[in-house]
Amino acid sequence: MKPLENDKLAKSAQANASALEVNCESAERLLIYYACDEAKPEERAAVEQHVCECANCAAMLAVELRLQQMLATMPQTADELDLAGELLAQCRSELAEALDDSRDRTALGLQSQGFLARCFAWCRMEMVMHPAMGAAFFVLMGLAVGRVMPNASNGTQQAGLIPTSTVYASPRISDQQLQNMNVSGIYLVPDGTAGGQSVELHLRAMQPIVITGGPDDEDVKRVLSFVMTNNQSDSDVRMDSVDVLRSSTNDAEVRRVLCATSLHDANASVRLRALEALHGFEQDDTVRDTLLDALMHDSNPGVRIEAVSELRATVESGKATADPRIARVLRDLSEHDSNNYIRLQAAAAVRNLAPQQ
Amino acid sequence: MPLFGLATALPGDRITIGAADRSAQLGARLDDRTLVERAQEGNQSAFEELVHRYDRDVLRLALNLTRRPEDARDVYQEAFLKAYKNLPRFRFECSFYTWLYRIVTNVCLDHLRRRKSRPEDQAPESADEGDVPQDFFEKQREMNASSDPERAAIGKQIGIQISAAMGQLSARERIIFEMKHFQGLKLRAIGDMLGTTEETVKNSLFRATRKLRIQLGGLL
Repeated sequence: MKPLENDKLAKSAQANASALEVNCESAERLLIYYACDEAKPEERAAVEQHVCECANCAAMLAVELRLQQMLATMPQTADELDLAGELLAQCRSELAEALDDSRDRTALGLQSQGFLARCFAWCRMEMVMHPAMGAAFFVLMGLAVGRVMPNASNGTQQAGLIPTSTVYASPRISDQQLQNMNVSGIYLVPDGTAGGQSVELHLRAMQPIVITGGPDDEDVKRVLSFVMTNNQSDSDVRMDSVDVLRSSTNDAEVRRVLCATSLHDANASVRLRALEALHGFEQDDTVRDTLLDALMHDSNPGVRIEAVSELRATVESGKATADPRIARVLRDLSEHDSNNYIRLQAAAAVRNLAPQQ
Repeated sequence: MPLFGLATALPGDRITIGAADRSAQLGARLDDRTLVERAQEGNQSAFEELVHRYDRDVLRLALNLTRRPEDARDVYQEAFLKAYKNLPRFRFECSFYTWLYRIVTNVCLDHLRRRKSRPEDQAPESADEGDVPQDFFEKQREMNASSDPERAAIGKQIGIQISAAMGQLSARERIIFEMKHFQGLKLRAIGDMLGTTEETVKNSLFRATRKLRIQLGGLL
C-alpha cells in the first residue's frame, strides 16, 4: 500500500474513532467486507486504524483488494457464451411464444369454464414450463391409448354400433406349395405386446418359406391344419402345431382338425394333446363323438383315460345327459375295458348318470 | 474506497436498447409500478416491457451460474413464466426488481441443486487453460500500467483458478457471490431477494471469499 494512502487511512481512522476493537482474528472477516465495500462506518474506521498498526493485516487487506480487482476485471461466462446477444434474442422469442400461448388460453376464457378447463389450462402451462415432462407425458399417453384402443374397437364392433366388413387377403401360400412343403420348425417369438407372441413357421419347400403371424392368422392355421390332418413332419412339429392351434379352438374348423388328430394321428402323445385341447367343448357334437370314438377304439390307455375323464366331467356337470350313446359306451367300458382305472372311472360316471336319467 | 467495475443495480435506473424502442412506442418511459399495475390489468405490452427491462441481467445471472446456454435458457423461461403467472398476486411489498430476482434466484437454486444431484449432468466447472478467453491477458495488460508479463501471467492463472474455485462453492454461496461481484448488488438487496437477512448473506459471502482465497493459494 502506498504511503499516501496509509496517511489518509490513519487520518480517517482518527476522525472516526470508535469503540469497536479489532484484533487480527476478528479482522479477517472485516477485511473482506471492507474490500467489497460492505463494512459499516464504524467497522471501516476500526479496520483502517488496525491496518495502520498491523503489517500482517495490511498485507491481507492488500490481498483482498487485489482479489476484488481481479474479480471486477475478470471476463464473465455470460460474455463468452452470449457475446452477440443471440441467446437473449432466442430466449425472448421463446418466451413471447409461451406468453402468446397463455394469452390465447385466457382469450378463450377457459379459466372461467370450470374445473376441467382449469385442469387443462394448468397442464398446458406445466408443459410449457417443463417440456421434457410434457414429452414424457405424451409418450405415455400414446402407449396407453395404443393399448386401450384395440379393445375399445372390438367392443364397439361386438355391440354392433359400427357395420363391419371383413376383407380377406389372398393366401400367401398356394395349395400347390402346401402339398409340396414340410414344416421344419415352429417358433414362438414375442410380438412386442405385453405377453403377446407371434408364430414363425419355417417351411421346407423348393424355396424355403417363413410364415409369420398370430395364432389366428389364416395362413398359419391353414399350414398347421394341413400338417396335422396329413400326419406330415415329425411328431414334435405336430405336437407344436396342436399347441399353437389350441388357442383358436373357438374356430369350428380348428376343432374339426383337432378332432381328426385325436382320432387319426400316428403318435399317441399328439392324439392325447389334441384331446386335451378340446377340453370345454364337450357340448359340441363333433367333440363328443370324438371322445366316444377315442374311448371305444384308441389303443392307447392314456388317450382313453383322458377321454373317459372328459366324459365323466361332462356327465357330472349334467351337460350331456340327453345323449343315450354316452350311457351305453360308459356301461360297456365299465365292464369290458382292459384298463382297471378306465373301468372304475366309467362305472363312477354311470352311477352319476343313473339318478339324472 | 471505490472498487473497480461495480455497477449499482437499482430498479428502474436502466434502459436497454430494446426497451428504449418500446418506450418510445409507449410515449414515455414508465416506472415499474405503473407497468406492473398495467400488466396486472392484462396489458401484455406492459409485461413485455418489464421483461425487456430486466431480462438481460436475468440471463447473465443464469449463464454465469449454470455455464450452459441451454440451462440458462430454461432458467430464463421458467423464471419469467412464473413471474407472469404470479403477477396478479404481487402486492408491491417490495420492488418488482427484488420480487423478480427472488423468483430467478429460487429457480437458479433449484436448478443448481438438481444438477448437483445428477453428476453426469454437471457442466464443466473448471475452465481448461486453453478455454480462457484470449482477451483476458489483454485486459490485464491494459489494467496494469507496468505491462509486466510476469504479473499478467499470474493474473491469467488467477482467472483460471477463480473459475475453478467458484465451482467449489455451494449453490447459495455461488448465487450470493455472483450477485455481489458480477451483478453489483448490495448485500442488503441480495438478502431481500433471497428472503433472508443481510447478516446471513454477509456470512455466506465471507465463507465463499475465504474458500476462494484458499483455493487461489499463494497466487494473490
